[in-house]
Amino acid sequence: MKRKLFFLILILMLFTGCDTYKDLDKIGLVSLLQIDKKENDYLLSFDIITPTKEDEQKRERLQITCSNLDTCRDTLYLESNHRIYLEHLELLVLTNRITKEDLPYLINFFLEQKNSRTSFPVIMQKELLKEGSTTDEILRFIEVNQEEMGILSIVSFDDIIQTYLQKDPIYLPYLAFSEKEKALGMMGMLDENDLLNKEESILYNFFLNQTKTVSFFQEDTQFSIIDSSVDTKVSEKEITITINSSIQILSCEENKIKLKRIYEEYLQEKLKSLLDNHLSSYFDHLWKRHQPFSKERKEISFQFHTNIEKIQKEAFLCKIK
Amino acid sequence: MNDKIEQFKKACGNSTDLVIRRMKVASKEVCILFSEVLVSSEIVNDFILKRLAVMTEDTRDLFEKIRETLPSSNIQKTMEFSDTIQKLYDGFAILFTEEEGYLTIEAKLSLDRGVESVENEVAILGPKDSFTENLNKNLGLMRKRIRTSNLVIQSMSIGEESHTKIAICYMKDICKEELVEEILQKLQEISIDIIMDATYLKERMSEKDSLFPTIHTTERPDMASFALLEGKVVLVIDNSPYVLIIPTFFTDLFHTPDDYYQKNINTTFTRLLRLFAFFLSIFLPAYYISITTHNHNAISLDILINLIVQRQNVPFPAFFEAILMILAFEILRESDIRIPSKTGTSVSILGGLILGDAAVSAGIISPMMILVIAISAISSFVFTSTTMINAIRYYRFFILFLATFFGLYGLFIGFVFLILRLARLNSFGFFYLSPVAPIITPEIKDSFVRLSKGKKQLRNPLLAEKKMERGKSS
Repeated sequence: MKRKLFFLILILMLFTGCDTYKDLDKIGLVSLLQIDKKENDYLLSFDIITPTKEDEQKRERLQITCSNLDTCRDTLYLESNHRIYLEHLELLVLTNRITKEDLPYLINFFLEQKNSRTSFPVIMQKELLKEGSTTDEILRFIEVNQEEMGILSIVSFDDIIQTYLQKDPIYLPYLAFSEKEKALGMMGMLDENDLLNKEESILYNFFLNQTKTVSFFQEDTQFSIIDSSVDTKVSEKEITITINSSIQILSCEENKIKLKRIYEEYLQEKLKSLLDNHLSSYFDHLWKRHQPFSKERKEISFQFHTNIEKIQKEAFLCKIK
Repeated sequence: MNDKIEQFKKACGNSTDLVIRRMKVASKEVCILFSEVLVSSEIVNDFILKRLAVMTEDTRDLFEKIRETLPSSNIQKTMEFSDTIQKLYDGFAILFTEEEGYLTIEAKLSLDRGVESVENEVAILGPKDSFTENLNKNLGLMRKRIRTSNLVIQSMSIGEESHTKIAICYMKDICKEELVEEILQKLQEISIDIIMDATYLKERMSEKDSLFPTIHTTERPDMASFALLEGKVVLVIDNSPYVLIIPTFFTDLFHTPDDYYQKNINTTFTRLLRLFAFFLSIFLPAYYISITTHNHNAISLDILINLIVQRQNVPFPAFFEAILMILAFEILRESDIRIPSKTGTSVSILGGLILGDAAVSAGIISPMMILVIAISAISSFVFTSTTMINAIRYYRFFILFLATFFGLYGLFIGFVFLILRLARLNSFGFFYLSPVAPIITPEIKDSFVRLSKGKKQLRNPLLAEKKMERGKSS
């Protein structure tokens, strides 16, 4: 009995375990994957990490055209002589065309990969990135922008899946490269290939708590939000958006109540405009999820909890006025 | 007389170490017979032959007269021939006449070394003396520490040919009687020709299917005395510089003599360090194989790139590389033990540094693999028990094998298997993993950590039913 058991375990080990065995020098780690579609063919560009003792960051770019993504992956295996691993994918670049037409197919493809995570960031481009633009640079650009300006924000593939399943509109960071390959950041709306403008992008990130520090001018006054959180609640009667923020103000005005009113009115107006123009379907779905038996979506109301930390009087601003 | 001498010669197979000396004592012919390799010739000459030579007065009971005359504490009269043969090989001189009976006179030659300092279980603090090959000396080293009538020493001999003396020591006011009885029964069941060392008994009394030691050996009298006061039984074996401590728990293997000679916080730190080293030693090579062959996603890209660079041009698969390194290390270790100490250092340098560096330069082994195996091997040496080090070695192989096939899943299976095996073991009826599993308070405070036990210093309730409280009972 013991001998039979031993042989059974041995056979199981030999026939099952080695399936995923792959030595380090036999794998092709993909750091950047770009996907485009031209007519019915997919155009894939892989940046494979091929480190050497002299240059640990060495990358090799391979481009494949094929009829479906699985064929592309297999072809790449044959061409590169490496098993393709997407576990350490640093960035996925999608073009407008592929996101418009094949998002469900893409989601399925990545979910079916045994050796792939889905937490990598995604950006959208008109065309595939040219050789020379590194993932590190792009990601750092987005991170700094998110921190300092709030125009762009990191969106992971997991976020896309979640948003897609909730049937909400998907927004991806859209980078427009100038001729000199200098990145300029904007948020692009995926579904309709419609880009948000700079102000809308900031408000969108602010609304989703992606950025907490925003500055804007209103009536010759500069409002700087130094900390914020936006919370959305759905009740039977209404949808309430609660905005908690701490702000610093540069103004020639000193009336705290007045300044607070100006700030809240401005923010409400702008957010309302964003929600009406771009996030209407988001709130429709939100309402349906929470109130499935209610036919019409109720109005959105705003609640502000504003803490003015500092008002600094600027004579210069009074002169402008 | 001649018949008796012939009988001795025959019984001893005409051994050349047998010395037969005939002489006249008080007008009677006597024969003194002894083994020249076991008996001190000085004692025989100065205290037996010289005294006998001056005995001229006739007497009716010669044996009684000799007993009164000779200055020896151990002179016995026996009628059985078989007893005299045993005494002959115990270092006694046998004296007999034509009449019935024999007189056995102790004249042992001291073949022992003196009490020396500890060799293997080295401690920075605490006493430095260690056990020797002499049973009585060893018992004395313990008696010196526990000066009470509660320390009981029972004796018996084992070995069909060696008749090795074994002393069973325990504290009668602390130790469980059932434990002593079980040990005695196990000892009586042992059938063996010769007991060369304590490890012979350890082998026969331990759990058969356990790689981990269920009986602890020590060369330190202070550790043996500690164990006695815990309610454990100590077996002292003649001709062995090690004593056996029964029962032994898994946590005992993480304790060192130093632990009780310094502050609790230091002891806790080093014990946790040993626990970490235990897992590191078993699992590190397996973890490395897992992440480099199956679970590349378990480490960050930067480390992975570093590992890829290191493995470039290495012709062997990672598993084979690991096995090669482990075997090379084991060979180095074995040769280091066998080589005389004067040349040992140069071989260690040659093996450890030059060969390792050459292997990396030649592209046979990656530097990271050398690092992993070296850390794993060094970690196992925080333990003094050789059995424990060997157990770690086999489990390292086993889990490495599992990790090669199944990656981190295999490693986890190995971990569960290891814990289950440890939980299943018992040492003379006591759970091996106690006081951790099952949790035994207050002993848990002196397990993988050492915490203050408060005012009442309690013993392990599993072992010490009779007298739980240490010191003066309140």
